[in-house]
Amino acid sequence: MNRTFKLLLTAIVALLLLAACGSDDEKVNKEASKAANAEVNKEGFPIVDEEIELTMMAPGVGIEEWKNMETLKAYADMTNIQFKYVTPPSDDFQTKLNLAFASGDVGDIIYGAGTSDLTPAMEVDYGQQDVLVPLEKLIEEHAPNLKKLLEERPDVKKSITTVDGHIYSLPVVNAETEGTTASWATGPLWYNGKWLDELGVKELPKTTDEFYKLLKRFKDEDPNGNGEADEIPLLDVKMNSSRPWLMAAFGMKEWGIEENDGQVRYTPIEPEYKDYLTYMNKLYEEKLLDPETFSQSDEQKKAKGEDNRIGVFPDWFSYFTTGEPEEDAVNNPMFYPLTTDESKEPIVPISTGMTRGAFSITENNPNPEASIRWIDYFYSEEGGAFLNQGPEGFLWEWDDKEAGTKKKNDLPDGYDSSEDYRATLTPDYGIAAPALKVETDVYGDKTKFEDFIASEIENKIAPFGEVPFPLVYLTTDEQKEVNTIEVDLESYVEQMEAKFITGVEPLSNWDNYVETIKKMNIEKYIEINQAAYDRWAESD
Amino acid sequence: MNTAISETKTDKMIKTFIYIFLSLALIGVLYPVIYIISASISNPADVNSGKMWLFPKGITLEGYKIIFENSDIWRGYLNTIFYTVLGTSINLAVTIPAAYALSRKDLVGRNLLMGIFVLTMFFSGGLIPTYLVVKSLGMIDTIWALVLPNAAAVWNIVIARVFFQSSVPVELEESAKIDGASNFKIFFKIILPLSAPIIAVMALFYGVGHWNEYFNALIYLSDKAKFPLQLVLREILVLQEMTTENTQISGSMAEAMHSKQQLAAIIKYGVMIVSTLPIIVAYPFLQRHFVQGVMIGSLKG
Repeated sequence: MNRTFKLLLTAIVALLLLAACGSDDEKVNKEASKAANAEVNKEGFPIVDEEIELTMMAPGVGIEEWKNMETLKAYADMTNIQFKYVTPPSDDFQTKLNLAFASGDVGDIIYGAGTSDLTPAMEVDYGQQDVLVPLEKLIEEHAPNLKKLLEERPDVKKSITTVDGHIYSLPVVNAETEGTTASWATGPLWYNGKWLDELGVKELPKTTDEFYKLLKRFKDEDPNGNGEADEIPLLDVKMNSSRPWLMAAFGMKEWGIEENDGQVRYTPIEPEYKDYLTYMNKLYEEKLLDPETFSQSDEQKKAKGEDNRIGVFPDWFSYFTTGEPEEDAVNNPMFYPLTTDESKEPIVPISTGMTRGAFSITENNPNPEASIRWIDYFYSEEGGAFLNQGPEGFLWEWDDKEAGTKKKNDLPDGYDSSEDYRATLTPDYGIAAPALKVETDVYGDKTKFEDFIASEIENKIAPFGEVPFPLVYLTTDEQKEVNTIEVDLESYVEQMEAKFITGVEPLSNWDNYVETIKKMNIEKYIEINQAAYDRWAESD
Repeated sequence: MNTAISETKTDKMIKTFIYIFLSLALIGVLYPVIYIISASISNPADVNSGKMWLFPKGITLEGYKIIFENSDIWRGYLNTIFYTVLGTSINLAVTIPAAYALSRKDLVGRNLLMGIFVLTMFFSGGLIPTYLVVKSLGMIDTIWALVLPNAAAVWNIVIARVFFQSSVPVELEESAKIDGASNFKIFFKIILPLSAPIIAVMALFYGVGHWNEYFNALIYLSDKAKFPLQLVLREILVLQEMTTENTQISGSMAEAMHSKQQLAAIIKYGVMIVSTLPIIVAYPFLQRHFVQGVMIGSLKG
């Protein structure tokens, strides 16, 4: 009896050991499937005569399964290219993407990842390891729309070409950034319109002093009229959303690396930054800046907004915070860029209008030509609108097909807004869907709120907008060095900002602070970014 | 000097102190529970602004209504129950026999085997290699990825082994053997009926683990229909950082985030209750075994 038991165990152990020695014929499989490169039509639809199926990895926002989206279904019929969609939730996409890269199971196409998930460093890294396919030749031969776009917009080409001269990933490009929300680097600051009316403020502050005086009035004159001094003149969650606007008042465009006339600098060690900290410290000491700024959550901020207790606050649109209906939000004016005696020109940091890392083809892809033709359509105006608004018969239908005018369809039951409905039709919702983004309002009538936003942008952002730093690539070595420096640097600067503003660290310690940062090898950090900028500026 | 009286005084003081201390502990433990229950039926604006601090304010059942209407949550709930039941059964089927076998002194290579087992507690293959193994076994995006890779937890095997060693007398096995029982017969007819406490403890350990598990599901699953509850909740409640550097967000993205945030605010506390309720309900019934079982294992180890 005992012997059987022993034998059994020995057998199991032996089996386990054997199982550990796996076989690796996976590579052979991959090679075999790669051979199946389908015949690709040079132009027009369908792209391939014989239907092919590819695998796409993309972040999902969890509203509709991608295989049910009408836009993708219609486009699959047009192109004859079917997809198997792997769409992990966008919050976890980075984890999944890294795993997929590490295991080699990354699908044929990576779609809509964006810079935060498919970082420039990853593009360079996986590009050099041949995991991502260089796209420039494919674009040249098979993608007329992209080719045209890159010729017309050299800034786009510069910004997506990596240091080795290859393009590994396509961007989302905004056809027009000026005058649209696409130009926003971050959500703006908003004034509480009711309070301005209450105090009879006709003109918004234009200098930091005027701004200070207005905040003071917000605090002292009970603009919400409840007889209690519960007003919070200026509020943020950490400083993240209001910092760009307030730093700009002192002549800085970025909380970090920025460029002025070809010269790269690191703003948190500049004297202007000290002025910014001094000013914010003053606001904090006099309780004009919410004392809970560094501890509260987004929900708490919104609760205060809904209580009508905030004077100036950041958010994408003001009604997100105040909880008012959209129509009433036109009374809350946007922050007007401030100036100081030292920095007399108003500036506003704006976005580059591009998001990189939105479309890559991997080495697993048996049909790179068909894939680049597939994406190319979305870089035409027609294709961009198709991706954004879906095929005819859902959100819209032709009003006059000859003239190209469209009219909006009524919403089907069960949807609150056309955005909710649109999210079930197209992947171009909440992710960096690679395309040429065109003005999406094609139906003529703009809402009052849209008009208001457009005019605010035109008056307060467009004339003063500057891009802080272009989108550059670093070499692998540079990236390594930057990563090492950044780890300590970023957390130190962030901590010290809070300490200086709240007064935990007196501003007399400024020199120590600069000294500490210098010890973190900041010179090298600036130098690397300067080199990257120079490469960017010189490339064509 | 009357020592008896002065002693009662000290006794009284100590007693008072103990009561005060215990009351404080009770408040400390009870307050968050009451807070969450109240918050789940209060108006989210009142909760966030701090107006609701103990009893519900602006009572609304909107949150629960949304939860009960959300099919994702219910599908996740069913999935989790399924994974927990199946996973725990597999865990038990592996752990109990393994622990029993290792507890037998006549098992050849017992120490070596135990050594190999214990080794895995200190050195693991790491995330990526484990993922690759699961992948080459064809378990990616299947329920097996959630229940098989962690089928045996060495720590639990150790606890169960010590239980068998200390609370099942060897004489019992010997006498069974003399009566002609085989090893399997001894295990099924004698050992199992005696090990109810350890089975209950193991079931609770593993069950709670499966119930709260989300990381494996996050790594191995991509089909939404298979997501367990924790992953569904994570998707609803954990918000993307809106101000990611270098990432451009568009108006529609901002709008999407905003509505997601509003939804999260309403149902946050409700889902906490709904998702922990089964464990809270089951715990008192198993608790007796729980404490007893762990004690048996640890004391005589």
